[in-house]
Amino acid sequence: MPAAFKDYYATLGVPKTATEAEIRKAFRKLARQHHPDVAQAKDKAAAEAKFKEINEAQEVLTDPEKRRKYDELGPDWERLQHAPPPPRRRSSGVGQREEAQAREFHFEGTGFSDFFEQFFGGGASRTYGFPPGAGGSARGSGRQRGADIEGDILVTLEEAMHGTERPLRLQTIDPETGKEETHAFTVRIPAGASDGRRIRVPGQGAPGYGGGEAGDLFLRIRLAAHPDFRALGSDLYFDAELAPWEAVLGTELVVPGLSGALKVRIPPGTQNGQQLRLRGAGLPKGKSGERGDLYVVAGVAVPTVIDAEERVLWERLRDRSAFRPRA
Amino acid sequence: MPTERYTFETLVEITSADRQLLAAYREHGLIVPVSEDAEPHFDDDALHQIRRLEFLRAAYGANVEGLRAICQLLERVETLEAEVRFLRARL
Repeated sequence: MPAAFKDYYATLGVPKTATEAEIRKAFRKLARQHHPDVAQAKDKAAAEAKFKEINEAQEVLTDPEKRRKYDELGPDWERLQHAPPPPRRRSSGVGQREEAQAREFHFEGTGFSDFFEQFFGGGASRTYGFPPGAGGSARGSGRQRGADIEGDILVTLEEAMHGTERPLRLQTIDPETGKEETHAFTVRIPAGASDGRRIRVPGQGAPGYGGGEAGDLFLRIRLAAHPDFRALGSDLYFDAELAPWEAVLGTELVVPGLSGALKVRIPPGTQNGQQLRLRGAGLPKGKSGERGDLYVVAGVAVPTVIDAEERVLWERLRDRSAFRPRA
Repeated sequence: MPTERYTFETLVEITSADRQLLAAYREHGLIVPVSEDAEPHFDDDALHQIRRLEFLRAAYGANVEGLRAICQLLERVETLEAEVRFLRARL
């Protein structure tokens, strides 16, 4: 099942020479435009697909290692497309039986494209081969449990906030018979699912041998990048750009919280990088009902272009102010 | 849908791993319960961890000390990767 090439630069509408900051800026702009929660109900499915596409593009292009690999891959695409699957797509156990378990897997519904899964290790592909007698085999009976499959599933912050159900389709190709099988099932993403957490889907791994039971599928949650928030555990961070006078004099901001907008008072004398905590406005912490916090991170932005009148005012402030940051 | 919380007994049953070995994993902090109400309960991450431990033990002959070192390194790498992603997103 060859994967179609993805032009991530075109997806984000940036040139190949774009800096990381330019790529993130382009991502944020598109992400706000196509965020599933912003789209009209009738366009929701299309917006969701587009949102995942741009998320995948930024995932590759903002990671220096992945971007380098992607850039190197470009010219060799045609050749690599017909090459045998990379070793990581095979069961990693020892012995010939594990090698025999080397199946090709193809997911639909995880939020990652086949192309991403094949070349950037973010999607479904990793398997553990369990040697006979280890991890669930019936010893001495000739039965062997099938290998587990590991994959990633892209989850938006909103989905992590409220929980969701995701229909998935798993296609496998038996390397010996060439037989293709499709399994459709639904995975429930619980509210409070944090980045890196695994969800087990019993019996959806590789088939067993000699009557042994099938392995399991383990899906690792990957929280999608959000145009407004950064997530760390159950805490959210909102980077608030402030004008110098807002930082000095204080102001009031409206922050787009996941459960609705929140008013935040920026106190006078707010420093660059200062964090203001909004208790309980983050992501849920598992089943407890407790929520993490939302941190508003102040960043003082300065104008790069000023007119003559503004210059006069800034110069007057400079001459009048007793503030000496390096004193 | 799968049960999201497993008792120790359920873990033994699902993984077919040696009970004493699982107890040793728990004692050494290699699997950690997510709640300890009336009895300890484990989640899918613990189950995945057991599969990984059993694989490492069977394929490479790692003992509990070796497994602990490997797991600590893997956990550290995952934490650092998450922090790097978080900090880079500030750009």
